[in-house]
Amino acid sequence: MARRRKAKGDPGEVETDMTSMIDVVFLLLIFFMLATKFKMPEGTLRSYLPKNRGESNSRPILSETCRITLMNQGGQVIAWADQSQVPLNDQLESDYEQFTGVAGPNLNFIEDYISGMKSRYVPLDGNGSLPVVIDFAKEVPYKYVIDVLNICARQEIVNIAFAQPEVPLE
Amino acid sequence: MASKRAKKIDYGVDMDMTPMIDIVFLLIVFFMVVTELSVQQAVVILPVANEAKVEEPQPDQVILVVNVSFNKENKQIIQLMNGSPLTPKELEVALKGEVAAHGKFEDNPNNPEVKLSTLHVTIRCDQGADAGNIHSIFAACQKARIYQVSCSAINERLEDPYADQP
Repeated sequence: MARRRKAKGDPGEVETDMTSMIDVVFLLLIFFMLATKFKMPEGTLRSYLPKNRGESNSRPILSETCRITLMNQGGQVIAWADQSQVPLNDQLESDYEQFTGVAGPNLNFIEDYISGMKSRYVPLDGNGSLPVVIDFAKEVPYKYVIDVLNICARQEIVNIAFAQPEVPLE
Repeated sequence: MASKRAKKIDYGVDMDMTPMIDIVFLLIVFFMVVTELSVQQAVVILPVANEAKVEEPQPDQVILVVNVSFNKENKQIIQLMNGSPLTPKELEVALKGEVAAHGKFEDNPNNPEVKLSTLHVTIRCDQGADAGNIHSIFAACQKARIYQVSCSAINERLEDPYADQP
């Protein structure tokens, strides 16, 4: 059967004008492209809480520990690595410090201190990791706690404790 | 003088718009979905930690997200997922409810009488928030028998998070 070709201008043919739809679609596309803010992938620093309860301070310390203390004195974060006071940064290092305008403790000093302690550490049972206690005041910005945790992770220290007021379990 | 009307020549060249429209619609759908996802979580400026690991959750792993952020009045708030602001005590009650609803426990080697929940809590805390919130959240998790807790961080910062703030 021969196919009959429709002549142009046939009154039975319906044509849709796509121009306005394409205009709107492009406007929508541009809107969503501008409105979209891509998220950075979030990582995590894993931790495991004590399965029973935190160790009490009254328990005798059986081995050497490294204690990093973070305090907040009028908006200035002061850090101590055991008995050594951590010097402050000469300049504003992070975006947070630039935002607040207050320099924080020198993280390289803390890292060198923990690294030195780790190299000298002799575990009592022969295969333990240097215990690091992070003791922070509640007003210290969270960033500095994560900075210390990050240093511990970089130094492959897995035995990390947060000094925390003892909370009675029900 | 009579104007001579030009004869329109039909070369038979048509532009097929269908693939372009298909692609544009796909792009719109993609951006709509991405935009929706990006506003689902509370706005938290996470700290930077290059040792933080991006991990894919296990198929049977249930993760609860606790957000610590600043509200419009610049007050620190704790939220479980994207719920209403909670006090530490309310967070503890909410976590206990989640643990009971989840209903999966594992043995506790330290105390056989008390089982531990297999739930996992991820703390997304603003880098400028008080670290004391961590004490509260850890205590709430411990009371709810949750022991797997992670702290969220990003590996690197690509743009200034405080650019919008005065």
